[in-house]
Amino acid sequence: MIPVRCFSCGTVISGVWEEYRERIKSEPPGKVLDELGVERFCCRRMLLSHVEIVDTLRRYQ
Amino acid sequence: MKVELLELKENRVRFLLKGVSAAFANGIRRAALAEVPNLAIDEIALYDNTSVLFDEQLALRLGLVPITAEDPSVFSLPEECQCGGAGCPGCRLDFMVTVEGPGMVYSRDIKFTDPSVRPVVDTIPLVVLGEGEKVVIEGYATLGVARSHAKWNAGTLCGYKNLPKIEIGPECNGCGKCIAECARNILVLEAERIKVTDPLNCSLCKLCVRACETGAVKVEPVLDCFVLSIEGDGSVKARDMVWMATSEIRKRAEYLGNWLAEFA
Repeated sequence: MIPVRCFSCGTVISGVWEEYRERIKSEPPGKVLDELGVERFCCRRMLLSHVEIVDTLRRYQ
Repeated sequence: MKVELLELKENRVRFLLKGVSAAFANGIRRAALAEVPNLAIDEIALYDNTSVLFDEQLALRLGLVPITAEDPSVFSLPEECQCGGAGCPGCRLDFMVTVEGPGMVYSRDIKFTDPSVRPVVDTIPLVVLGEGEKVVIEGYATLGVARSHAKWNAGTLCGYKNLPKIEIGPECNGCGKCIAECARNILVLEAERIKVTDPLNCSLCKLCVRACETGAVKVEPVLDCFVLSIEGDGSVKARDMVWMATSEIRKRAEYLGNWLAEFA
């Protein structure tokens, strides 16, 4: 699951996660982040580097 | 002391503070970060959690969701409440989360009994539920300050810097080396002379000073003038946050004054 807030500055970044994940399928991630208002690089890396593994975990429930 | 407003948004305020010491500017910054009371989920009871996340992880995620009230001043800190911290509607805001899978549990599924209280952002994914999975959570939010736990952090990014003063001397030959060096792109060439477009954006890195061969560029911080930038997570308006931070400083200064007066 995407962390609720940015680790470094505490801004809530998870609110745009689902929109970000949909849009990067067809648009460059940098542009999407700009348009979603994620401006600092600490917050940008939260979304850019996140790997969703909950669905993989579920198989071993 | 003079205050000049530079930028005012719902979540962010930038202003110029003239004629104060660095300690005063830092006091406002620290108070905005750690002393502004706001709402966060404090205790929960999990009746059912068959999702992939552990109870503790779910509790952590719930705690970090910023919560806002239409009028936060009607609530009081548990230790200052008239109930003495035992728990009453004045200091505890009850909520329920009941979601059955498949699907995502969002922050908007946190239903408070008080209709004026709600999460700031509706679309925070809390946990994803598979077929037949279920979460049933009951709990309460309280007011708190970030000094005691980071979940009550109303001010997320607060900082200040000295007001930069950039001077271009008559020695300038318009070579443009400082323009190429400036990371913030605030220098432009205009009629063979360097012009500063936005001095407030300067980070005082002095790369332009080093690049200038004639020694025409001078960058100095104005020592008694500060650019304060206060940003919040949305639970408290940035404007109110500065106000609450300064009132907290005033309250403490008064307390110190009264305390010292006892010895006089």
